Amino acid sequence: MRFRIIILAVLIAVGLASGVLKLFYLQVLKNKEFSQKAQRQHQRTVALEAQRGAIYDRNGRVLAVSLDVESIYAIPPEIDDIRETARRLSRLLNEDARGLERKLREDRDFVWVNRRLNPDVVAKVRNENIKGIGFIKESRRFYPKKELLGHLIGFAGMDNTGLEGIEAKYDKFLKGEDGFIILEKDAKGRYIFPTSGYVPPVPGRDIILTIDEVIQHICERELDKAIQKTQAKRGMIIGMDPKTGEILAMAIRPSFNPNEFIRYSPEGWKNRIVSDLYEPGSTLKVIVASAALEEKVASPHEPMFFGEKEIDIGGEIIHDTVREKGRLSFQDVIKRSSNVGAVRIGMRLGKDRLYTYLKSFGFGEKTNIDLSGESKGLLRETRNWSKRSIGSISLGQEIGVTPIQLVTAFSAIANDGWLMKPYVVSGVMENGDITKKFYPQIEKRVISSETAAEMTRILIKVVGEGGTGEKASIDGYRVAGKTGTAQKIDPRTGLYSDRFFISSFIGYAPAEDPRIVLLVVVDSPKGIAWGGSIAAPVFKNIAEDVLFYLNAPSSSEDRVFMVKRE
Amino acid sequence: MGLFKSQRVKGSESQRIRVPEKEESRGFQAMIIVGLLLFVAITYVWQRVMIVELGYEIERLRQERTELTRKNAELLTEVSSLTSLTRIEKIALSNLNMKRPEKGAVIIVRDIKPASIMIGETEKGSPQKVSYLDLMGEDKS
Repeated sequence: MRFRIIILAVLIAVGLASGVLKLFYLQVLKNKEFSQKAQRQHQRTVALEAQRGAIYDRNGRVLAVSLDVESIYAIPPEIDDIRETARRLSRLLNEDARGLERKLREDRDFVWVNRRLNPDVVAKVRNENIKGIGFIKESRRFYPKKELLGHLIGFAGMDNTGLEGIEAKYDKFLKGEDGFIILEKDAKGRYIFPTSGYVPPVPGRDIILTIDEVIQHICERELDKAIQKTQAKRGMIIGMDPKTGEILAMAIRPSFNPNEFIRYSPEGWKNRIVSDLYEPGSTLKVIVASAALEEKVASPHEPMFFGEKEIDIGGEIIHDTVREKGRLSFQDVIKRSSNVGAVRIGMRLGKDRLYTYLKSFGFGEKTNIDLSGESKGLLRETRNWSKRSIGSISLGQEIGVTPIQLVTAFSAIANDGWLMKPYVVSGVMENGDITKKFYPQIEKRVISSETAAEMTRILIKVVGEGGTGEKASIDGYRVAGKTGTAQKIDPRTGLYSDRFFISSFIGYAPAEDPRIVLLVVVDSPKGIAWGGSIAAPVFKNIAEDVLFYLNAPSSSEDRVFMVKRE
Repeated sequence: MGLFKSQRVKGSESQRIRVPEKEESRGFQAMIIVGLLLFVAITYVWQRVMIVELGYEIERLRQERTELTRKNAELLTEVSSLTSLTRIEKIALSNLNMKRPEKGAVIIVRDIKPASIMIGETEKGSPQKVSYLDLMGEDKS
């Protein structure tokens, strides 16, 4: 009996000991591993993507915003019939079945089927209740105005990082900081907000542009019309407030819709207004003339053209398009855009002073506008100039400028001689409050107030009767401007082409109190290519609507009705 | 009051035993301690239950906020898309047969406030601003 009791006791002891050992194994030796397994079953770490900031125009109109949309993923090990699943998904997503099958057969536990989809498509897939297929919310960038301002805004990629334009340049403000949350699941599968393990996301800040959507719309509409009418290859328009340097509009054609950036080549994403160089042609004569007046090497009424058809510079002949038997004064040289007269003005200045003024107006250097990919242009140092260079540069050849450089330089004349730094972002907003503001910055004085006023008077004549820019005149307003027709270089011959031109017009209005400086560039129009015929009417149409929109008072005193207020 | 008090014991009516008052007090103290412990335990459990319940509530509200933010962004996009000027202009011109104002139909005038400016002078009597005609130089004549 006692023996049996001992046996029983031993058995119980062994049983208890094995239990204790097992407990020791589970609780002590394997504690970490099993704790992690248990945590994985009832805890879930959810990444909280920061909401990317929105982009607004100067009046608070939305230009870019982020929305949560769903993406579809697959867990291949959970799929029973990969071929059938791929076939069903292909039908619902309108995608190639073989490509999908290849994805699903990858030796991975997680694959993206398609990301950031239309809610209707997601609903269809969800209704099918396909095994091994799941859904996850991700942020997607929307540009509700589509092509409007596409090149300036740029776009953000799949991982919510800005890749082009404002989206890239101001990414650090727009992006925000992602957070995470460790949610615990109860027995019913409900999630409980944790007492710890929560790092909230910091939403990105909003960006306010200096751009005015209305002015932008007017520019894009008129540029489209001009391109359609002239069948030009490309076109650009830039509008700037000369007093502040704020960019009011930036239109580029061919257009670019950032919602579908993947459909365009990287060449199509480029903001050509800051990156592309072109020879400005006669529009540069304004800068040369300003320098000559400032240096007092010529006066507005002094004859500068004596009926020649051409001029010889160091053995090189420069022809003139002006057919005038008599003399033309300095101001008429600009009004009629005489090449011979402009060369003579340039020669009066001399190459050193010409170079100094061009540099001073900002050519050959970046304007430092707050946009990526800006080119500094092409202005060779005087030691690299040929004998012909002084003549060519006086006509706007042998010099490469970006549209932003030209509009900034021209704005200095409209702004009493002060050169302003151009900018496109006026502020950063956080929770509806402006936390960072960008103010106008004066770069320097490039010409005196008197010279600027004199140039304005001459430029009004360009748009007046008999001037090359007559078609830019607007009823009731004084307009100051200059036409430009530049021959393009033929890439096959390396010489100036007789077929391809860049037609341009740059001007401001009202001349006495400029509200906007506009540069219109039409690249390779078919048929007549004169800047005065192609670009000047575009300027007129835009300026007319813009001045009306800006409530700019009429310049003509006789048209102003005085209303006496009591 | 003495240290002992008499107490009748069941089954021995005539027999009285003396229970020390200190012992009775200890029993009472023990009950209070147990009660307190129970109170602390219940409070702790209640707190935990409340935390869990609030956790559910916070999580529900967090999801509601996320959903409302999403909806707000969605509506913002829709408003922005519908107020596209290209769209409005198209509807105005083709559907509503609206027309642009004729040339000269609208003339914007300067906002002239005090009567003194209308005659070209400020209150101090000096010209407020150089007339643009001055800028026109020779054309003035």
